[in-house]
Amino acid sequence: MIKLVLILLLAVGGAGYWFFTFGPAAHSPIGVLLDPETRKLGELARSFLEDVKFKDFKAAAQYSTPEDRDKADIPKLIERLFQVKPELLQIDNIELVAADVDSTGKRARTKLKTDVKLLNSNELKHPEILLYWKKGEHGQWFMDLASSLQ
Amino acid sequence: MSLVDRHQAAVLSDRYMEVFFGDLKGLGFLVLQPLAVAACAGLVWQGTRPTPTLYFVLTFATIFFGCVNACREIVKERPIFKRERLVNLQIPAYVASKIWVLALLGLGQAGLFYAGVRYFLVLDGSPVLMVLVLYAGLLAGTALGLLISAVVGSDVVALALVPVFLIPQLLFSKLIMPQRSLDGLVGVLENMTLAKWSYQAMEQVVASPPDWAILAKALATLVAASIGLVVAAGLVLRAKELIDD
Repeated sequence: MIKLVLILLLAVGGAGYWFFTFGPAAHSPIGVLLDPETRKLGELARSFLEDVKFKDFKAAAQYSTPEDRDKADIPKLIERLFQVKPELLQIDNIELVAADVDSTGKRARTKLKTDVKLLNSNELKHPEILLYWKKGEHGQWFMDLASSLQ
Repeated sequence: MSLVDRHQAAVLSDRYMEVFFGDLKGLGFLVLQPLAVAACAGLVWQGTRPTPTLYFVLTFATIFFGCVNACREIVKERPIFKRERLVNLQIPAYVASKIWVLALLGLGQAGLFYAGVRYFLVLDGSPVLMVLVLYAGLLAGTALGLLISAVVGSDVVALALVPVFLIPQLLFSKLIMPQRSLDGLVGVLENMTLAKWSYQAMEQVVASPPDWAILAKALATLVAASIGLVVAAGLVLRAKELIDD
């Protein structure tokens, strides 16, 4: 009996280790992952910040509505958010803190935590970023970039 | 001859584990307990970043789980213990079987507790180290609970004593008086609390980078305290026998 319990605990522990270290729960709460809508939003938010992390501003603009994409000046908005020029910004870690959808199911926001290094001063910051989302006609989510990066 | 009769300890552990699995309600309580507390903590801190207070709550809760799990485990079977002592039951084997089984179940509880909190928020630091620290606190709480169980004469008294031992863990902590340096008698008492060492280890787990020396010292202190409390529980059982005789 004891050996059985020990083996079971070790198996569950191993699976848990993978899940929380390398798996989907490594950078987001499990609760967000269980709801398909918040999981999708979490993936989009992380993906957007990953584009910013690798300075792919063209890709980062694709999260906005088609009509806003051309107008979106991502580098300027990032400069406003982090108070530093994008080329001096090194984003190292992106973590989803929360994702919630409003009662209509048409608006949502995601809160993320990042580890940021300002390359001109070597200063480390851990800003929290709120990204706001609106649902399109076909059910896809678009970022409300202007309000997100206020 | 070894201090603990391994064969006897193995038989007693198996029997104790079967008793646990035979009582599904009790087992369900063991599963629900960490999940319920994790849900409460998670709801409070959901949508925010983890704070030092949250980490203190987590460490304190695990000490509490361990203490509550163990505080009735010896006293509730005192008649069986006395009867089996007449047929050569060894006290170290008996106490070892208790801590061994409770430690195994506690490992599951620590893992469940971590997973429960992670449902609501992402915690800093390595998950393995975090669970290890939570488990070390739970183990020390279990050892404290076993000592309480060995000392008292009824399980009602055992349950009544749990807060007497646990509330000082809160009171003599930097969390209550963060601005005041705890020195003199209060400092000594703080050093005697399990919560201090558990939280100190936790602080290092979530620090970046952790101070491994402080983490190792805090964990070693918790393990030493656990061993000391379990040995004390055994000695108390023997002392009570001598007094009864």
